[in-house]
Amino acid sequence: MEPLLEVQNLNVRYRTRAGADVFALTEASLRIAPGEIVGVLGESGSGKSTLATSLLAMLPVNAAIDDGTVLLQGTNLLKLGRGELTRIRGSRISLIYQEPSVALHPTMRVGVQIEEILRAHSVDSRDERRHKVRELLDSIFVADAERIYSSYPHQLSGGQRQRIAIAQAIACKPNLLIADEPTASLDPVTQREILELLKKLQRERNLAILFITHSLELLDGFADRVVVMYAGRIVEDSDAREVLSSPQHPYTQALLKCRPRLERIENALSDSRIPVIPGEPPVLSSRVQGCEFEPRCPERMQICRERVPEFSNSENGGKVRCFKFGG
Amino acid sequence: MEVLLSAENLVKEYSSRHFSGVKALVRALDRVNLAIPRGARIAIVGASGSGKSTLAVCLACLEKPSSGTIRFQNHELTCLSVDELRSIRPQIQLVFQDPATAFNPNFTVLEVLEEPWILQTKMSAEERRERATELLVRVGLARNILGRGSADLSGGQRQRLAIARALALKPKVLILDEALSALDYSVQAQIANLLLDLSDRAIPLAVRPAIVLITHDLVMAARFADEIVVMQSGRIVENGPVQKIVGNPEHAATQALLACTMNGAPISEKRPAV
Amino acid sequence: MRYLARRFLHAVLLLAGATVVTFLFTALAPGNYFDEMRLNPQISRETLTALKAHYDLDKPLGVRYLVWLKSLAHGEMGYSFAYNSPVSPLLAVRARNTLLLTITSTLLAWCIALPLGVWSAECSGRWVDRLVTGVSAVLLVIPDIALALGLLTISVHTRWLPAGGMVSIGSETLPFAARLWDLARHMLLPAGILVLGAQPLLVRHIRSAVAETIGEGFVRAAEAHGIPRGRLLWRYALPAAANPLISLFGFSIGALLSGSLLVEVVTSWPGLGPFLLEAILARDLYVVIGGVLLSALFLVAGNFIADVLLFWADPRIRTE
Repeated sequence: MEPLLEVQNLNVRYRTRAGADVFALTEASLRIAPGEIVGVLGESGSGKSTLATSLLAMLPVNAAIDDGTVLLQGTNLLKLGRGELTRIRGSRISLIYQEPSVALHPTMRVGVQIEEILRAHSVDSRDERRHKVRELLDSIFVADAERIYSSYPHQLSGGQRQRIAIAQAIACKPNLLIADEPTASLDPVTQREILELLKKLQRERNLAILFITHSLELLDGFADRVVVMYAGRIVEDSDAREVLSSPQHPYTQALLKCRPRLERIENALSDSRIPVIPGEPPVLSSRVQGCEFEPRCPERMQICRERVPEFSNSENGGKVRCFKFGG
Repeated sequence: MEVLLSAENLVKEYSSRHFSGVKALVRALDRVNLAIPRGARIAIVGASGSGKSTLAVCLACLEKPSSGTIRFQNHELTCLSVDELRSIRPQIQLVFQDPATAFNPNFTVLEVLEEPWILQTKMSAEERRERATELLVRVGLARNILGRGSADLSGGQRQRLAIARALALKPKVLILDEALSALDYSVQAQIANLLLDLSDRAIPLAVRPAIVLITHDLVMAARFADEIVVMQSGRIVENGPVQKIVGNPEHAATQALLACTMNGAPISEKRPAV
Repeated sequence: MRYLARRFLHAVLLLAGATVVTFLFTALAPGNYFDEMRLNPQISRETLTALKAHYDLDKPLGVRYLVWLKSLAHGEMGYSFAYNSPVSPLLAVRARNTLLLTITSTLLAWCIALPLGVWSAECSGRWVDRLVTGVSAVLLVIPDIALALGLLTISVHTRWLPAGGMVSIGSETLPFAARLWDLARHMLLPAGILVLGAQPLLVRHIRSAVAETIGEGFVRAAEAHGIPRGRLLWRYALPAAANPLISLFGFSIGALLSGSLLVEVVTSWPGLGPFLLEAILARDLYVVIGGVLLSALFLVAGNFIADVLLFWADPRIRTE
């Protein structure tokens, strides 16, 4: 199928105040089909947020894109001018931030905040905007849409605020939604509700979602495909169920083991410890010669220190960047 | 088992003023009864707004409850004077979610660690340095970071430092309020192991701190604790051993939390009877 | 509404306090209007004593305060020795002129400072920003009085502007539009001095407040939703920066008011400034008290307006 979004060989680097470079994203390639939910799994410093912001060409001023393209239905977003980007953002590709309390304007009624976006994308009649926002809120909230329309963010709960943020993002019917840890600050019950809502939107509108998270269990039963990132690189890219049940890359395997499972609690009661990944993630201020995970990898080989592995096809039909599978 | 810290009929009310001038009383804690035995591992779980953080600050004597009593060993904390409380407070330590706001960012690691000793004891500078190094090793940090600025540490390192500082005065109770939630899973596992180490059953009961983990993450709660307390709207709705809470939950709130944690289990659009 | 009621009560109490303090301080100042008459051999000691008794100056301070309060209740604010008339009507016409100047300058100053500050924040670090910051810094180090004298000299030499006063002679006979034009020409100099003097402070504060909110998450989020840049600045960043700016607005009214007293003297604008100066020199006690109180009233009113604006602008204050 023709991809909705195609990222090719994207390299992003930040320049720190001291003049040093941080290689936040290295050789990232990714395809998203229309209506597909892709989970990006990674820990802090893995480059997942950099990936999200570069897809909207919204990197901070100290960032430099060394190489690569971001093609949205064939248009390279990284080559567009400010005016064209402004027209595309919100209408064809949209972003939800992690903290809804930070992402909403504190002194503007939330209904008006959504209307502003419609207005920016040339819904010129005020009545039409109001009508559309009412409809949108009715579809996103189970009840109380009327009251919520004229509320200020501080009058809403965390879950309601995140729903508003979602309403903003989908108001102009984009094809692709990028969600950067949208449930991280919510409690588990609300988290699930937000996931259900996103799933519903994906079904109803054929909305593709790039869902960035550090909690793997959120992706189970939600994402179609999972991309695992480590130290600025994509290390595994495979069907969601496969990644979560039989991970291939040593990092993914180790990461999954770190997370206790309720099913196995019974055996854990003997005062045992949780398996951990030894060491810490690398500092990305210099490019290492070999695989970034090599120092922490339980299955490292001689070659891992010499060069970075290329993607190989794994047994379960996904792609893995590891010499175990060829490289 | 000997009960170390306990709450009886604890009520905490906040008044929230509405602009129309009507005062509303919000009951953050509603007749909470809780007993923490010496050296125990307890987890308090609940959704946001369930009152678990309020319980934490009340137990740590940082806020006075509206009514009810808190007992620590043989002291009734709720009727002690400020001076008397001062000698008890070091024994109940609280670690917050975001350690970055807990220390002065201009302090070095050493300064963060020795602050409680300077305030509470008459230790010499050399002794403080020695003890600080011991603490670093105990929480799994490298000795050589003593001179580093506390702001330069990673999230996991800062949380270890916060725990080290909480341990500085040898507390009998260590309360962690969502102290793992903001961390990556690999780091959460490391910190959870540290907490398991600190409360290892091989340590004699007399010197083993009781650890209270407050979290909305039922999985981590179940992995760490022996006993789980479930809270909802200021009340304790269910408590008991981990096997019972996870295997045979009775209250709807527990079931809802469990349903959300079970991988992939879809839930209905509506919030399950909360 | 409780918030507004509280702020209003606060303002009233502040004013009441101001009456006591001004009364006390003017009473503590040595000498009074009649002391200078004593040097005049034509006026007898008995006449002076009688005059003092007539104006209650021989009474203790507390009694004088009560008498003054009573006259305030009658809308007179005491009696001017020099003009031999109640103070209020004298003050009223000058206060109107001062208000005209201050309000115009405040509005003008903000109308110029807002776009400059926002623009400068938007272009943070680029040449526009550096130019604005540089000019502000230069203006900041020039004392207001030097600025006033400088502009006055220029306007006198070039004859572009009338050098003083508020209206030209015979302007009453002109049609309305011409009279307005005449007034504007006269006001340009004093208002210009005030506006220029206030610019550096305003621009700097607006710039830093807006620059701070431009970096906030909700502005970034709005950008990600395709809100155009101009709208982002004026509809998102600026209103979010409103709280400190509104407080600054209240403060700027006060600053411009006290500045205008000086500028009025220099440009002979017939406002409270020259009138108050004259009264102080003549020790015309009640005029001084009245003038000071009126200034205090404007200040308090300015701050109250700021409070109302704050209430209107920030829903979090409304719901506390």
